[in-house]
Amino acid sequence: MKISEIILLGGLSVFSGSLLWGSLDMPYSTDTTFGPGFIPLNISIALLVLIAALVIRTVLRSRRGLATSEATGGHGAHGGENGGVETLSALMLVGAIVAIALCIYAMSFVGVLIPLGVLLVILSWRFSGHGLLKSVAVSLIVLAVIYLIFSVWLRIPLH
Amino acid sequence: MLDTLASLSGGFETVLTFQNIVLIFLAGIIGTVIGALPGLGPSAGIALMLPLTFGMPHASGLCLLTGVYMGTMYGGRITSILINTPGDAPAIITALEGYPMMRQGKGGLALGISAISSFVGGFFGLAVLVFFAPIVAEYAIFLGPPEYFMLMLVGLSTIVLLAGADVFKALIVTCFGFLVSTFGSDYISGHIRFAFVPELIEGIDFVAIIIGLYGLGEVFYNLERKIVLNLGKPNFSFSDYIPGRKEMKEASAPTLRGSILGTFIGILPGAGATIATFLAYALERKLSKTPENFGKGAIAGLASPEASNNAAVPGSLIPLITLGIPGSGGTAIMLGALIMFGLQPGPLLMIQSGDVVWAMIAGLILANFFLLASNVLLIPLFVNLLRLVQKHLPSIVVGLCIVGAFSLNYGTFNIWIALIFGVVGYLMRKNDYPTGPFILAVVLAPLAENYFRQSIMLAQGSWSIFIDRPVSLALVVFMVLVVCASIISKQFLRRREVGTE
Repeated sequence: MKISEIILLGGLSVFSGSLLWGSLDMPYSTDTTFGPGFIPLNISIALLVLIAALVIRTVLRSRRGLATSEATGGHGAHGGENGGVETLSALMLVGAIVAIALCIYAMSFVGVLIPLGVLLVILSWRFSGHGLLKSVAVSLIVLAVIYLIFSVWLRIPLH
Repeated sequence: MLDTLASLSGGFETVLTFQNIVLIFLAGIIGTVIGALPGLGPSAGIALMLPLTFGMPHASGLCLLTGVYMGTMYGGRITSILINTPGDAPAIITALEGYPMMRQGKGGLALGISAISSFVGGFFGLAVLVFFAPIVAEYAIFLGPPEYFMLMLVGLSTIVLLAGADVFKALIVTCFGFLVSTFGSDYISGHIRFAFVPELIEGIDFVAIIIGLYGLGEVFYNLERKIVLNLGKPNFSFSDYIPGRKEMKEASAPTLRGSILGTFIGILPGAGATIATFLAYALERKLSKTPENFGKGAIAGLASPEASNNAAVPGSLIPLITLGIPGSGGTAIMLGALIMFGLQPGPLLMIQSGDVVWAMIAGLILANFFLLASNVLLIPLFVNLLRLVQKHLPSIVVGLCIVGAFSLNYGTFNIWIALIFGVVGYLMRKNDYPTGPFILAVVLAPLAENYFRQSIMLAQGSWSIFIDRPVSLALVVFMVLVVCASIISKQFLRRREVGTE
């Protein structure tokens, strides 16, 4: 199982576990029908069972695969260089997500346009590999178009 | 029939003035642009245009609003196909087949097919609206919670077809979708579920979820994989954008089937258009000789849902005009507009204000023609604009997604939601978890839950209500037959494969 899948399934388990806990406080049924706790309780249990079953299936399959690989004299995963590149890519992605999160946080204080402008420059410059000047110019154009459509035409308060 | 045609020609007489023609044309273009922006759909488009209608004659005002409504349905497909960011639920299927076509360099063709299918679907829906509206509405009113619950189950059953290779993973994301839909007020009991912050009292905004899941999720995936789109250089040759005879032949039958499904299911309040597009897609996949091509840019999978999506617009207007029941956010604002104009929505609307309603229908027919022409002409512009900015697409998509999520309620909460679901979308895509079942569950689960609990309440705790009522029983039988047929056909295919081996 890949690390990203472990993160996904771990996150889903925590999510469904917390909803399961929360749904215990809700009425499961009323006199005439099912209560608000009916769906969350049953579905969160179902989700946890499905995740457990998927993990067991994957573990069993990987053991079987390992046994076959040993029997045929196969080698395990190779390509340490690829692993390094993948780690770097994953770090870049985490960096982009953190940059977006910081931008959203800043929007609570100074409005949408300024943090968005900074974010667009950073994404274009650091993550898409364009030069700084080009990134600034393109970001300014994008920001101007967004401002004209959303703020001037549609009257959405972006600042 | 002759009375209907006479009324319709009266409507055209009202609409065919220079001022109204220009108004309908502009309404279509404005609707297309608004529909193309992530986060803004029919409701936002109609609400934004409402103040402009204050000083207008009633017929002109309604033409403007319905033109914008129709235009947003056309526009929704543009960002779905070009940047994999659907603006509303029905456009998700468009992204599922249109975006792979775009990545193969056939973005213009995908836009062309979807524009023509949308036109046919819209036209079919309008024909039904003109000739059969009162009859259809008369039957629709007899459907109660058990029938609606069964219809939601029929919609949810398409998850099997959207599941992909691993049904286990599809079930996991379906349960996840169900749980996401439980946030916020429970309309049956008044209980507020999982409102960890005040913004969650109204639940998680579905549009913020799709902006994150598809728009940001795609950007994250491409950033990590260092995927750079190669769409070629700008090119204005129309042959690249207009579907040829072969493509049109491939799309014609699916378009017709999608139009019929969209019109009749679009009448259902709540999620008519969404169920119609998913069912249309499921039907095409089932009928296809090459179902393995679905999800990789199948023309049938694009044409049929597009037709059903646009056929659902006139379909959703049928209960509004004949019964005064709005079936969606967009038609709810239209209902407000009708009241604002001093009209009385309901069964007497066609009798008391028939001239205005027929003018509105005539305006819709005109808008459908204008939209086909303007959308086909605009395809080279959209595709070449994308080609021009393809190297800067990640930052442009992120910018549009953030502003789109912000515009949902003018706050940062929905941007956080979009970011969270962007990460979820990336993780799902990276590990081959299908997004279709998740979205379908998010849209249909709350409706299914409400109808289910209402039905049990109506029957005072008895489950027999689902088989006591004829329409509900017919839907149960239909579902059982479909399940049996798919099991038998799978067994038959397996045996045949074993036989040939």
